[in-house]
Amino acid sequence: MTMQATTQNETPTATAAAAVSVRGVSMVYPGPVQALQDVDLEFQAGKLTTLLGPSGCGKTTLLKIIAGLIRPASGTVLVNSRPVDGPGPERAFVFQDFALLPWANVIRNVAFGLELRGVPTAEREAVAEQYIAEIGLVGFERKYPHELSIGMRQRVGLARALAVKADVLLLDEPFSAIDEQTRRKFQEDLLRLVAMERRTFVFVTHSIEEAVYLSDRIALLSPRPGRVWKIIEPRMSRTLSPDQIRREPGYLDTVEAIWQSLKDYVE
Amino acid sequence: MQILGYRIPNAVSLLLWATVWEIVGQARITILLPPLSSTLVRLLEIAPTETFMTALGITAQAYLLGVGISILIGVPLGIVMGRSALIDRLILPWVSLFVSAPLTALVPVIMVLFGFGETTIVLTVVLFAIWIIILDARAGSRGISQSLTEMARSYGATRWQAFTKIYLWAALPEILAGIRLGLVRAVKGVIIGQLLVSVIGFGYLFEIYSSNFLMEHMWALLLVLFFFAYLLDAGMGELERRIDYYSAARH
Repeated sequence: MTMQATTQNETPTATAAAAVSVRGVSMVYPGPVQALQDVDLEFQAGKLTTLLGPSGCGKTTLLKIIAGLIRPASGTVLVNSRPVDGPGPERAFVFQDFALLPWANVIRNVAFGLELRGVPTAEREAVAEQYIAEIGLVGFERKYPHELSIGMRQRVGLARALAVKADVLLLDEPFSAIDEQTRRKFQEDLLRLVAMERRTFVFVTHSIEEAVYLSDRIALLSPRPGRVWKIIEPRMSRTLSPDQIRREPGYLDTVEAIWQSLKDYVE
Repeated sequence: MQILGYRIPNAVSLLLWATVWEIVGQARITILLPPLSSTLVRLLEIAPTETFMTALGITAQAYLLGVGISILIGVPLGIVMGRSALIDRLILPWVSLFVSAPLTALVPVIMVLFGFGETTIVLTVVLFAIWIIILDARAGSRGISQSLTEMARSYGATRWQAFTKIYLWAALPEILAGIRLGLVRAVKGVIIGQLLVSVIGFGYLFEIYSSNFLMEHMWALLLVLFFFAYLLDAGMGELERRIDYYSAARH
């Protein structure tokens, strides 16, 4: 395919491992508001890449374009070298407000993606059980979302995304509604998941610390019109304990550098 | 309610007004209002008769049919209207018009078209009940959060799956509220329809009782109707309370 050939010419190093490629994507909302302008970005397989930027920079828009929920004004998105035309089973979305079914218990919520695909009950509940265990919600299978804490609800949202066995997980500010203490625990669990699951994570956040702590790679977006402004790869040892990482010079320097570059945009 | 520190059960007010009815009735102020006690005695007397049971059967059948049609058409239509701007624009003006129109005036039109039979009664019930059911289902489906519809799409739900597994449930509190109002309006519909047609069901009985000044009979009939209407309303209220836990958690 010609598509593939061009890819290799453009970015010979990243191609082999790129699970998601964004090519010249622009987005204009009625207004007109130029939300994204000519965004080119590669997301490496098995890594966690963060879209970071001030509010209104179009990071959630970009994530939803990758998800196939929004059609870009121009440009294409390739997932596993195939152009995106709407949502697909190789991508799963984790929502900022969880988007759980309030009338369904935890196990049905986790298995819901599989239920929509017509997987038989016993089979899909077995898969759901596995991910409920993985995210630490054993014993809550028959509880309903309103009986869970906010943090637990997002764990359900995450388990649902994992259960459909998508290659690419798209997380839209998943921790923004969660209190600080729970969030830290959640971030540590997410790192463990990234290491264990070997899937591609695309993560949207406006928290610099969160981005640096979690990411293999950070795409810093500029404010409207959003475009890729800098690519940052935090260099710190993942073998350290979470508390050590948060005190490590590499971590602190990266946070500081990002803050310095963003400062001009924040009045 | 509390008076002087004592909790007063809700039934007390009912009892109080029943007593007032009895006293006014016993005082023989007007022939139009017989005492409650003799009305109740009359009720026990006419209830087992075949005329009454037949009338009740016909009324119940027309009512249930009309309500069933209203729900089966009204709920899906309302949900679709809430999700599709095009269909909404097409149908909403008519629904808004009919929900507040003096529908009684339309019953003679139905009579001309469908005759003096059960079809007319059923259609009258639908005419009275369906609009509010459509409107409330529409409101419910418009209120579904964007992330829930995006969740449906991103996890690959077909239109049918989105409708049956998500939209219907997400809009359920509003749908039930609409059905509850629809049920009460349907009681009006079935009685008004029968009164105007006046050859079948309770309408026929009302016609006989009132033209012969059988006030005890008439009040007995009204008691039965009020009782059923109240029962339906209370039943729906209970159903709504059961799904309360998630109607608050949706947004």
